[in-house]
Amino acid sequence: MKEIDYWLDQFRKFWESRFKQLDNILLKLKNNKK
Amino acid sequence: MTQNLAFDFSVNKENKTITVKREFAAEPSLVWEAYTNSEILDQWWAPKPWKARTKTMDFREGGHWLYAMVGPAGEEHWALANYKDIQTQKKFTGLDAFADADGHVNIDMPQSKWEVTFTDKGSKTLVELYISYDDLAQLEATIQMGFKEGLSMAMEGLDELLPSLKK
Repeated sequence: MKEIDYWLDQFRKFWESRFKQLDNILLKLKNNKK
Repeated sequence: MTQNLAFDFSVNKENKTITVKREFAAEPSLVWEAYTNSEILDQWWAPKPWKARTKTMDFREGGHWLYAMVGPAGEEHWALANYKDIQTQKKFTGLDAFADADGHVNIDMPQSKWEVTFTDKGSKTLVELYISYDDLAQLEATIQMGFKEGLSMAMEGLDELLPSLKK
């Protein structure tokens, strides 16, 4: 189970990283709309 | 400019479900577009230096998204998302699977069910993802398949980005 916990933590970080990129994309989209 | 955007990641091992909640500083229509337009998805779905590359996308109930996660050395991991229920700017559900470049699902690999909801929070949008697996061990296999290297590199990229975000 500890291995699963490790991979879940990695998966959480993966999503954090992915969402940071989405933040940047949304900022661009908002600026383009103005 | 950065804002305090809520992020929550939780795992229910009994139900074999992962819940991811995240706020975004944009209205639902824009966030919905980012999740359902392949040209935009390709720009953020894969953590750098990996890239997402869409082959075909047909965002409708019964439609699909066939894409590759492309690594820095050109390695490709193909995935197929089949869309089930769609409520525009509110919610969509689907089934995600490993596939080949022609969209043939690899039935030996784990599949996950997805439910993505979008909630209007004024100037922000709350996105909630519910990802369920038949077996939680499948998640480990999923990550080992292709995300490990990309993730560690992405984290390095994030480390570089964080100081500039704090300014």
